[in-house]
Amino acid sequence: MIDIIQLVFAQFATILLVSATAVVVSKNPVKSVLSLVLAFFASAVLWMLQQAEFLALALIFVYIGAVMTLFLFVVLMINANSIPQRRRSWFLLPLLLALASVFFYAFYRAFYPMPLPQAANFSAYQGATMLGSPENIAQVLYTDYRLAFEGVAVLLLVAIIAAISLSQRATQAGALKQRVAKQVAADPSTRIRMVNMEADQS
Amino acid sequence: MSFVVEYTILGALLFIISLFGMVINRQNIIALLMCVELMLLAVNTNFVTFSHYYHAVSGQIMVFFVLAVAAAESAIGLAIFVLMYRNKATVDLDAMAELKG
Repeated sequence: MIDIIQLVFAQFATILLVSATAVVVSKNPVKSVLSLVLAFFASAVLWMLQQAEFLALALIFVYIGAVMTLFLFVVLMINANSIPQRRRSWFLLPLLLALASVFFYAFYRAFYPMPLPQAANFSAYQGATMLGSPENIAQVLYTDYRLAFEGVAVLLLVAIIAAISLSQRATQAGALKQRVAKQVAADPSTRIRMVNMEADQS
Repeated sequence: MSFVVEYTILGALLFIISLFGMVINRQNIIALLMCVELMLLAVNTNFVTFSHYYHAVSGQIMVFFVLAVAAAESAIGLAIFVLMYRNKATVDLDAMAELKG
């Protein structure tokens, strides 16, 4: 008797792995981006199975809604012929296989000689609220991690400024641009004019 | 039940797939950006899994921060990509060799 949860996990894990492989091996970048969208959808479902409901929805809204749309815009903007063809670089494959085997060996050592420490009582959260509900996330995020939260806000601001200043066309006519030489050469006599005038008598 | 081993194997496979993608798509900057996104997805899946396993919400907070940093990273990466395409009319990373000694 297969549990419905196991069935959902197996299906969406398969979708995730297949679409991730499609992202990697596809020659057409538009197909890669669309496969990446499918991979994000599948992993949102998998996160939802692990009670991360806020993060699963944030993955769909923020990632698929914003970041993947940005990727798709940029891919569609460039000329498809300018995408470089994949050159043969199979000499790196043994290195990759070695890395993968080290990785899985470390994984095996981490899990199998000793069982995972069993976590505390599971029944406390098995109620109406999920572990990763917005309420639970917010209670930790706005108290224990408030400084890191502010730091992320500053980081996003810096990213906005960086992206705008990188992609702005500096030579465009009428572009608002800082002209350092004019700023340094500014003279107070050209900026301020002293006027002698009668005081108002009335 | 909480599938902790299955989820971590899935995360490891996803990470290896994206590492493989980085190796075979070394010239294509947009494919590299997509592989970075897949790697972060694998890491986030592990965070979510262990957050559920230990019933501690801190792991999910970490995923939140990783998502924010990854969004900033892909925005700046795509801006650099657009700039490179505009200046060189190619997206081949081998064309970016000005700093080569």
